[in-house]
Amino acid sequence: MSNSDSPSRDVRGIFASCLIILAGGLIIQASSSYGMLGSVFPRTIGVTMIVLAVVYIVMVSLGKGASVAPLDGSRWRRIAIFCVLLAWTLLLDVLGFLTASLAGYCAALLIANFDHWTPRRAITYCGVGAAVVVGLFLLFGQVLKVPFPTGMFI
Amino acid sequence: MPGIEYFLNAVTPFALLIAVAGIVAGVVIGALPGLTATMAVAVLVPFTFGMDPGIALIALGAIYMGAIYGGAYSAILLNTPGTPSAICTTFDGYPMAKRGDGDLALTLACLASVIGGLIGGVFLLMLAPPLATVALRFGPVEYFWLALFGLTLISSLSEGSVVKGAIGGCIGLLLSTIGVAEVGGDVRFTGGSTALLGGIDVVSALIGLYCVPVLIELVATPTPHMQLTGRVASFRLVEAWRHVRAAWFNLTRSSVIGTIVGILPGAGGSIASLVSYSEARRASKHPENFGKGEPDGIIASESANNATVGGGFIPTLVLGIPGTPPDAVILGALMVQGIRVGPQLFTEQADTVYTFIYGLIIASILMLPIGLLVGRYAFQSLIRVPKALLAPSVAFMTVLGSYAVHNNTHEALQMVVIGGFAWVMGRFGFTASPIVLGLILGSIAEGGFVQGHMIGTAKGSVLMEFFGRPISMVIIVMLVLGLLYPLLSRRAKKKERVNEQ
Repeated sequence: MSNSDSPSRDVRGIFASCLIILAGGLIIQASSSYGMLGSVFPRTIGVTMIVLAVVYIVMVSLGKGASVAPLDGSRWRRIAIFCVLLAWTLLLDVLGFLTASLAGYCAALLIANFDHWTPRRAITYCGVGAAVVVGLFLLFGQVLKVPFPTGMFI
Repeated sequence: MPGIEYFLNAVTPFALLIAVAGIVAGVVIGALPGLTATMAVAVLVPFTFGMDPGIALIALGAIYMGAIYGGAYSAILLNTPGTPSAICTTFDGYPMAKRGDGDLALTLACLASVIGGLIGGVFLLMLAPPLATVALRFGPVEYFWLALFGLTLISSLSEGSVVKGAIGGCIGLLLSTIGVAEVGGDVRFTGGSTALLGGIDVVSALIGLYCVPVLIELVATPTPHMQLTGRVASFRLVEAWRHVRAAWFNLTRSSVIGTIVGILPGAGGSIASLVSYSEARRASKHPENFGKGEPDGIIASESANNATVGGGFIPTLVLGIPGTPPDAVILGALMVQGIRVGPQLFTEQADTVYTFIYGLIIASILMLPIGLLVGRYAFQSLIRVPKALLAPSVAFMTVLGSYAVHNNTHEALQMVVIGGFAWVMGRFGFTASPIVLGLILGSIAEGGFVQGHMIGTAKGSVLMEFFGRPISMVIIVMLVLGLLYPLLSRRAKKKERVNEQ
């Protein structure tokens, strides 16, 4: 929501409601290919979603919507941490669990750090990160016998 | 009263060690602002997979209880509730810390949490078995109505718009239909992906829904996750005990409120502490002192939020319907353990369930020394952990946790995608809890509905099957009341305002 949105004009809510109406329509359409027992529940959900979204749009137009407060902070860091998590989980099978996790941890560390990087800070943070990742990897792998994927590395 | 043998199972050295470790871990995570009790349970769930089910439940219960109490640390010392259930603790805890009584406030919070947790645990022990007997009479239709009842409550009690809460519930229900249908065998909404044939894994989804949005916000600002302003010199047990003894009625009332709110599906510690706090203030001889450092405020808030733990386990264990959001995660963990919750749990797996209930009561008692000693030192160490290290460590735990559920990398990916979706939905004003409840209750609602429909068709009247059974009627009445609750409460507030003017 932009800063100019008044509490009663939930523009984002209207946009989301339109998407939900669209999603509801798609669900109803997809349900038509299922059997009677398998389609009745998703179809009911689809119809309910459409009805609720229309109700919300009417509410907002009557000035009764509930808007969301604007966010503080860095947008690129938010996007970056999500991309890191996504890449991290996609690379688990490719690189191996430990390698992907060490790389993911380092990338998340770079995003989360707002302080000036000094050699001492870099060594300390990387050391702690490695201890956390390797320690838990060993605990799960050796003690709890969780089999981890091994890709190109471990 | 269940036998002594279960109690003895819960006091083995290993069970006690697990309870202590669970409380410590819970207090540490709960003390961190932004990291909720749900997240504490979600992140630590994988550690319990290799344990005996009864011990795993004790660990999860102890983590949950510790996290709820841990929230009081940052509420009192930082004016930032560590968990949402500690919101009311800030009202009087922080003013006490500012005037130099932070240690007394923390001791009061600890004592109130212990007693609240104990009362919730005793209610669980007393109420769950008879309720399980009643629940044995439930058919598919009753489970269908009960699932709908749970959904209406989360919608009614969710913050912001009720309609948005209901839409969130529908999204959760929809997520629960992904994969091969239990009845009929249709492959639904998989988009041709074989990884989705088994459906969305509940635990991975919960980790994503609750942890990823928190993580995204954690890295967005340079504001430190903690900045201590209060003073923690020691604990003042004798003085705090005197306050608690004098406020025994407030303590009992708040604990009972906490237990009842915990029993209601979807309502958690935050609602319990708000209701108890306002009741304590309304009944006090000095309501003007509330918000200025009144010990009764802390006692009400902390006893109520810890009592929700025991209360919340009642519907979770008896009906398989989570009483509070952390219960939803625990329910998922029980499924991984192969435990089928429901009334039959109390007869078929009595040793597991009673060992857990006694373990929870013992964990409440253990929270007194641990809360006072370890909590304080852990909190002081935690303040020194830089946010730059905290965020990637939490990220690693979420990836590890979601992978370890079934040793499946697809589920880790599911966790991230669902978490990103939850963050985006949050920006549109849709909170995670209704989605979670929809996801959990979806299969119960669908199974109940389809089976009820089939039975009704065979009997010749579907309507009578759904609306003609006595237990169903009671649940339908509760459901209607749940739907009308926001309207009635708004009217009552309006009337109160008019009367005041």
